[in-house]
Amino acid sequence: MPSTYTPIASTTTTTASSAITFSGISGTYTDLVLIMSIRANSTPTSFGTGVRFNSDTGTNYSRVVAYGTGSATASFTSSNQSRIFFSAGPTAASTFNVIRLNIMNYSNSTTYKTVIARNDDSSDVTSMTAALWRNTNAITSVTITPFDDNATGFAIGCTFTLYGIKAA
Amino acid sequence: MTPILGIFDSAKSGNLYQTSYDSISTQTVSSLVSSVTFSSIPQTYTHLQLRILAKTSRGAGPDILCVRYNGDTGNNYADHLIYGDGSTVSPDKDTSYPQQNIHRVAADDVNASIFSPFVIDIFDYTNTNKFKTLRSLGGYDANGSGRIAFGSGLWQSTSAISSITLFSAYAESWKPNTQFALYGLKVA
Repeated sequence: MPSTYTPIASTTTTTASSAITFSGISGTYTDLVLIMSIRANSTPTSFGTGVRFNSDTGTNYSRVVAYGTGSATASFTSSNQSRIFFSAGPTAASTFNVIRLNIMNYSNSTTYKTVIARNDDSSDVTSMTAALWRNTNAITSVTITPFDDNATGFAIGCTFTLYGIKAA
Repeated sequence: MTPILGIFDSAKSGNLYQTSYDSISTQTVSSLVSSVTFSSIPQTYTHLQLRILAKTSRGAGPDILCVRYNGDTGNNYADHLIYGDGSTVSPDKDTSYPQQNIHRVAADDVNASIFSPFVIDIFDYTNTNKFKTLRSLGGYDANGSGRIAFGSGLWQSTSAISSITLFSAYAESWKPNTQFALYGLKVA
């Protein structure tokens, strides 16, 4: 049986960073898995990250989210967004928010691209997301951008790793 | 690229385990088909993973992805899940059921280009001392509506799993471009 689940690229921030891009992604694989371990470079009152494909900044993204805070649950949708947004909130020292995205059949040219993700913030909330990019193009690049009200970016030590899974 | 050899650090034993992740079989639907079966599954792995992108022909609303093992149609299955529909988070369950209901899957009631992804892990599938348990994450988004869920499922049988059948709860068909990919994870 062919072995797969191959690391394609990985980045660890060594300075405060404003954006991470994986470009030149080949169509070799069937699915992509993106694992991010992130925190803000400062202590913003709100922090999160946005994911875009192929540098598309149009309002072609949407999501449905369900989350639990330890005392409550909720679910919401966001439609016609300019990126897939994941909230992130660790403020405790050395605590990072871990987000794992499964990007399914990223290179086919017949379906919109769908992502399912788990977002685990050990200090605040755990959530799951289904997200849609309304585009049938093959995904060749993924850009991850921080959003925080202090605009200081990703902290040192954030990791971003992209894996490829190839079906036989 | 060299496939990853994942290393899990066991807190109990202090041992390091090398793992492999292999593609066993993939079925891509080219014309409407009522079910897909993986048979003669190799018994050489520790766990199985199904990675799915699916859509059914149901026109009246979302469908439900269902699983059976070894052709067992008895009331030997159970499942629990937590889902969000964009408004609330709710639980659901089935007990003594003839199949495992995984969750809602996109159908013909949404845009033709919208399919549902699922990742399903089936643990210790060859172990003849345990009932078989799965966990799942899946759903779909349709730009203003959708579902996302994670769940668990139980097959009350100690038999090793040698086949898996995936079908629609409403006896609908899988649409073209639906893909089911089966992987094996081995702990050496």
